[in-house]
Amino acid sequence: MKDRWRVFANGIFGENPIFRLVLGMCPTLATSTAVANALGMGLAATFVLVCSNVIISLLRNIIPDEVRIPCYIVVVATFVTIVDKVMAASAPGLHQVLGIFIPLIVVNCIILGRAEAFASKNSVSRSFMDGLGMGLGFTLGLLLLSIIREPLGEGTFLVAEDFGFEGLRVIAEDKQVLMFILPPGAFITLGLVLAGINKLVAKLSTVWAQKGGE
Amino acid sequence: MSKISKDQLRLVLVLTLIAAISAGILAIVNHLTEPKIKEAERKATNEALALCLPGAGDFREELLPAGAGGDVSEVYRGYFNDKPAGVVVKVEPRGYGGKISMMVGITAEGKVAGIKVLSHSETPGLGAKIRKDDFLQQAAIRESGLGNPPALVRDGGKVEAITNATISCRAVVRGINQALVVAESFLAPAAGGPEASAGRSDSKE
Repeated sequence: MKDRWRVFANGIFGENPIFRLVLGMCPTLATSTAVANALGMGLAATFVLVCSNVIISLLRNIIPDEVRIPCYIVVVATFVTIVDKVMAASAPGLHQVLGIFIPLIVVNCIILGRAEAFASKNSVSRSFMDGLGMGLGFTLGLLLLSIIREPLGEGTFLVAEDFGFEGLRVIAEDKQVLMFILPPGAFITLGLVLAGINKLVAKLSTVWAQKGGE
Repeated sequence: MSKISKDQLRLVLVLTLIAAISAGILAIVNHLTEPKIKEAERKATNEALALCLPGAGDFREELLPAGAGGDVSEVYRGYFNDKPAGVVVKVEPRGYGGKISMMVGITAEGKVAGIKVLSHSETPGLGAKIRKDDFLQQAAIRESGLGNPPALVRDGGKVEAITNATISCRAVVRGINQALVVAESFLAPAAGGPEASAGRSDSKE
């Protein structure tokens, strides 16, 4: 059981897809403009990741090596289409905002990467925990960026029109820094957060190393 | 001809099987979600129609008239107790970032009754403000109509554009004008008089 939790935590901290592996940058930069969008994108990707990891792990002894990539893509695409349809039926507004980025989960390198690097070589339960950890790590990364970008760029916080939530106005209208919800703001925010996290990790690892030495 | 080996057959079989199973699952999902998606779309359309033409309770889609502007995509006639109450025109003029999909309601008297921007891809914080009432509800747009087509201040009209978003605002105004042209061809026969259908130039104030 301890091993499962280590796999889970690895996705969130040790190998966080956004901040440690720097994978899946396209949806990260594009959908972290508002907290609701980030959460929607993150949970959609998590669902696909968990399901595809489990199915691919189940089929890992059946799928021949030569055709493994097309098989993975078909499995991933199936779950992405399910998410796409269900989201269009239950949250049309969110579906419209996320738009092209939902179908593009198919080619999200985190998902294919985990299928190839983890699920195809590990047991079902470990693959499940890996998918959950990686998915939540991705979601947390998106949330962290959107928590910075939405208030600064839009001046509001937690707007979710689909669920009738109007959000809070943090910065007066016309005083917000528009750049933060535009593409340059995405790169700048990501860069600064990455730098901060790298600094933190470096500091923590020296502290741990010292403790281990004593 | 070399024989197909057992291994090769297995490759084909496994991939076909996976694809077939996934197709089956997707067919079921589609069957379950399709009515809900259609329903949500219909509801969104009806809400937008009611917002654009507040006086009407019932809407029927009509065929596009000949001579409609290139950006016009749908026309609805609005009815109140089976009496024609006006026209709602869906137009999609090109803005700065892409098509601006919007609906324009025009009363039977030829006045602009309401405008709703359905979707757009204008720059957030600049062109995206065309959705806001500050722009759409200004007097120059609310009071426009047949014989009083709206135009931006810098194009010689009275509509105040949003700062740094002239292209987006101009697109909205172009959409309204195209909607008015379509509405005219629908409303003119109802008005009855030969002058009313004579053309835009001599329609009364």
